[in-house]
Amino acid sequence: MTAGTTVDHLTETYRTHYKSLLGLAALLLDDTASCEDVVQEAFIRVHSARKRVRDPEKTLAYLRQTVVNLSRSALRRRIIGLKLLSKPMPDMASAEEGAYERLERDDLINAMRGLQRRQREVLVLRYFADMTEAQVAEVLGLSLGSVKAYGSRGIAALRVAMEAAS
Amino acid sequence: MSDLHGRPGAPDEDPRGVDGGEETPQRGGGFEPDGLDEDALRSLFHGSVADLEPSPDALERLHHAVPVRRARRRQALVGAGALAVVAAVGIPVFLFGGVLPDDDRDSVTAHETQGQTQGPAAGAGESSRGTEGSEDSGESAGGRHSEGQGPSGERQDTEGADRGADPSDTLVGSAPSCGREQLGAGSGDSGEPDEQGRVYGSFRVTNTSGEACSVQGEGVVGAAMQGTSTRKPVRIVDHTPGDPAAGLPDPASEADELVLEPGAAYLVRFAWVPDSATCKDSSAPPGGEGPGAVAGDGTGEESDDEGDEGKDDDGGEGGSGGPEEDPLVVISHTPDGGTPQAADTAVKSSCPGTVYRTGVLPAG
Repeated sequence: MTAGTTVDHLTETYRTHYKSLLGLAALLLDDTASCEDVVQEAFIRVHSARKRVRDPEKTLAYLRQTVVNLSRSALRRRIIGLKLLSKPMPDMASAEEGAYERLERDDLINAMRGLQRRQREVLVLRYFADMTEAQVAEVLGLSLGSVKAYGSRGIAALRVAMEAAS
Repeated sequence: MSDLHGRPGAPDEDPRGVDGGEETPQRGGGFEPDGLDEDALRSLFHGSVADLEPSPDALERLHHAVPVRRARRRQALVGAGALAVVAAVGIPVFLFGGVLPDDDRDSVTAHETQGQTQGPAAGAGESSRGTEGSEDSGESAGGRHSEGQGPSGERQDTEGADRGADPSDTLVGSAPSCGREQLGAGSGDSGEPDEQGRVYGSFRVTNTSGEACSVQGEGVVGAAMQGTSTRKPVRIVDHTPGDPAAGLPDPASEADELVLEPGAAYLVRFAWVPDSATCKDSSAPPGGEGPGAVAGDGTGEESDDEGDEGKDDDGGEGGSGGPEEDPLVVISHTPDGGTPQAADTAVKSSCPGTVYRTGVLPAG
């Protein structure tokens, strides 16, 4: 009985947030090939838990949190392994493939991969997802002070990495 | 450094331009970078991933996968949502073993934790839960501390669930959701151990109000070991087909929604399965355990229940209330909606082990 409602919400959420979450995953992940898997899994998790989608205003927060969590390597490997076992992903269309290939050569992306995970998460949530420092602290389970510290160190590290790449 | 202001991405460009900024990377202090303002970083991030587009069938796959995952969740019925609510209202859920619900976590984390904390005895349930990881706990929006979690990390998962839960969340049902105040007359029962030490039991909770209501969550099953100073892991997982709690009903038979007429009750059934692989080892060292536990374990060389019997006898002599009381695993149930706990029941055991639980079942 709630299925219809949920599907509609799923479609709506997809249209509104899927692309930006792909970007979030791409900035957090070490392997861009997993971006879509992670975002798909996040959508599935959030939308299969009906209690999570009762409040559309919170859906994005849940999705972002899930993407962040899934982006951590141990979990991601698990997801990928499961995916390979159970539901092979269709081949990506060439256009998408090209975008991911370009991403692989992106200096910023490569510089980000050299950062510590926390630094990277803070920068991405703060400047890509446009969260406040307090929101970032909430999502990552860090103190506000830690968020500030990771942020400033992350930017410093990013500068160094970008400089080295140039 | 100069490239931080431009889109570094054009793949074939060789971004050699250096603006000569030699500032030393700042340590600590302000978040605001010199020479790399927030807007620049934002545009860099957005520019880098601007080309990414969903795969053509992304939405179609989601429409297929979400119902499938839901069906799986039904089978691995869990009460993470309930746990979240419980945690949110600050109920002292005394689990030092694992908790488990992962319905909504999340969490990425909760499921993950669940998988990690499940012992070998967890059986088939592990794989299906693991994939949801913590969706409920962590997941999903759940657990934020998903890495490096040991059993001790579970409370963090709960924390995640807590944050993710909205006490006002309810499923749409054909009857109003049962308020906690409508559920009462709770009782708990547990039987005698079988030859493998497994003890089956159940909790019964009645709709004590005058209105029909819909039980929305599975509530929380908690467990705590008493009577031993050595805390041993007690895991709580949802019963799944193929696990050692073969006497519990198939989760697939559980209804998605249970409406209780006035006076009707629901059951949550459980099975306590001592961990025979670790029981002897973990309890053998006298450590801080009372004499009862030591004696019991010393005689229980082959199986858990032998050990339990031994303790039983000694416990009778030692009385209760002190460190020498019978080691018990106290298993409790708190309905969805939170405190107070509806009922508890005790199983004699000093072994680490697992509580397998069902969802809410109609009481016959």
